[in-house]
Amino acid sequence: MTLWGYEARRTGWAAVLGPPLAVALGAAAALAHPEPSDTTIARILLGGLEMAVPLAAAVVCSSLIGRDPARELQLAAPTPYRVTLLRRMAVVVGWAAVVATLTAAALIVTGWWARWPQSHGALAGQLTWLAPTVGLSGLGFAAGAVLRSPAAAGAIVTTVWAVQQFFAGAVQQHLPGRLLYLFATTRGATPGDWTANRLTLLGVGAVLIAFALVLLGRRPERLISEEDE
Amino acid sequence: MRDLLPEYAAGSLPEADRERVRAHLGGCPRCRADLASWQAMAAPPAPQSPDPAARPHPAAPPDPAALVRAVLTRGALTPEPPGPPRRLRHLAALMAAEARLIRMAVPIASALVMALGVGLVLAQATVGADLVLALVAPIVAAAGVAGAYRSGRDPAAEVVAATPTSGRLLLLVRIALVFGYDLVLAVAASAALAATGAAGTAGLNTLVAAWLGPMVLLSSVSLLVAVRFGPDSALGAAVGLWAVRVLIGGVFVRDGWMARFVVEVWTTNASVLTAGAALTAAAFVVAGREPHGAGRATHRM
Repeated sequence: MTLWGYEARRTGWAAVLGPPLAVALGAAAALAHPEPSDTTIARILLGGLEMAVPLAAAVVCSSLIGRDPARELQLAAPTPYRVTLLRRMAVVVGWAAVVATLTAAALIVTGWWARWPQSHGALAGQLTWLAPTVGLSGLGFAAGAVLRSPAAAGAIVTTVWAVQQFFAGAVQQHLPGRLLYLFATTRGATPGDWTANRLTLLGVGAVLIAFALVLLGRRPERLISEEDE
Repeated sequence: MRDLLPEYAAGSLPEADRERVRAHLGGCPRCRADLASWQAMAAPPAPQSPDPAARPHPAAPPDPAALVRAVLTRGALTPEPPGPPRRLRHLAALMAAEARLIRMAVPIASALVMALGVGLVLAQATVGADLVLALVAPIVAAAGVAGAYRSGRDPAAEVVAATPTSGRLLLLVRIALVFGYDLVLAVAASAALAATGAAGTAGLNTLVAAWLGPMVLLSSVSLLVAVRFGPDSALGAAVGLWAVRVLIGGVFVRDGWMARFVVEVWTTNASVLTAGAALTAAAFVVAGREPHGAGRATHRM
């Protein structure tokens, strides 16, 4: 527990505050809607889980690499640095999962969950937030490993997220786009593709995380050697 | 003060500095001793003897006192070289040095993101060019500004802390570089979209007005948070505010007082630009309160 507590402190305040603020944003948007209806409110609340929580977690994951003041010490420790980074990513995604699960439970208990027609059951429905969180966080982690710049990796994550928001129709015109679409529950064009979409996002997230770990394991000294260039 | 003694001995010091040195010498025996050494070196050479045997050998080394005197006199009398004033040259050197400290990934990723936005507008006419630029340009600039702030983890942090140049000036130079680069990128993207007609009837001015205010405001918030809480929090804050604009002002809530307020803030007007300038000024005030990285130091000095 000491180790995990230390890793939680190293992830910073953005990791702690991000997911609750994301849920609060969804709730505020629902309350502020000028023409509230059950379907609309339910869609916005689920959208907070499917859109805002993954973005909050992914931005923090994109800044895990390249911000550690004890980087040189970590590279000299017996534990590989990529294992430490993976542990921190687990803390970030885990905390987002706790917040999202509690929110989903509250929505299920209050009945708002079922009021969105495209929602799924209590168990499978958790893929609503889990799949985009893993997929987008994996992208942020991989971008951080490639670019070693939190600013650049964060910009890429937010751009992918925004493109899927504003070009939802174009992205979902073809099957590959539909499978990789992050917001299939609240803005999905083809409800029949939902399960395949969620599993694809989970798989892509896992592949990107594995790619980042391989990259970090091959030449970990790049994390410090190119800082001075 | 001791650095002024050679010029004082050579008589090339301006009057104000000469008075200052003279006042100091009255109470400092060590500087008086140093001055005596400098005066001995700077004294004019003794007149040559008419006896050839007494003259120095032609191959003998030159007289050090004469050399020092010549160099000091030349330095004092030589006018400023032609070209820009010294302050401008110093600023240019600072910008060149700071540019080398910015990771290449930042400008490359910024350019790629902006190019992606332009490409999507060209490929799809469903979303207006002004809206895409109003959302892409601010987050690119804010992310860059968040990453540009020098923290204790900066590889050059210790050098910066030891340099006589003000930390605020260095921060200003680096922010100007990052923000200026993103500004040029956004203007180029607007010009490209206006030239190709992808922006419809919107001209270059309309496109620039769509992103300039939000870019200034979000970047200033990012800078203030970075200076106070660090780059990670700044990136998180910038993305959070940006996501509010995307979700409340567009995707989810298109009408209502909250949507109107968010959209109003995300435009270019005098209030937004003033708020951006005030936040930037506040960031520089906060940045000057403590040396770089002191907040993260193990032992405070």
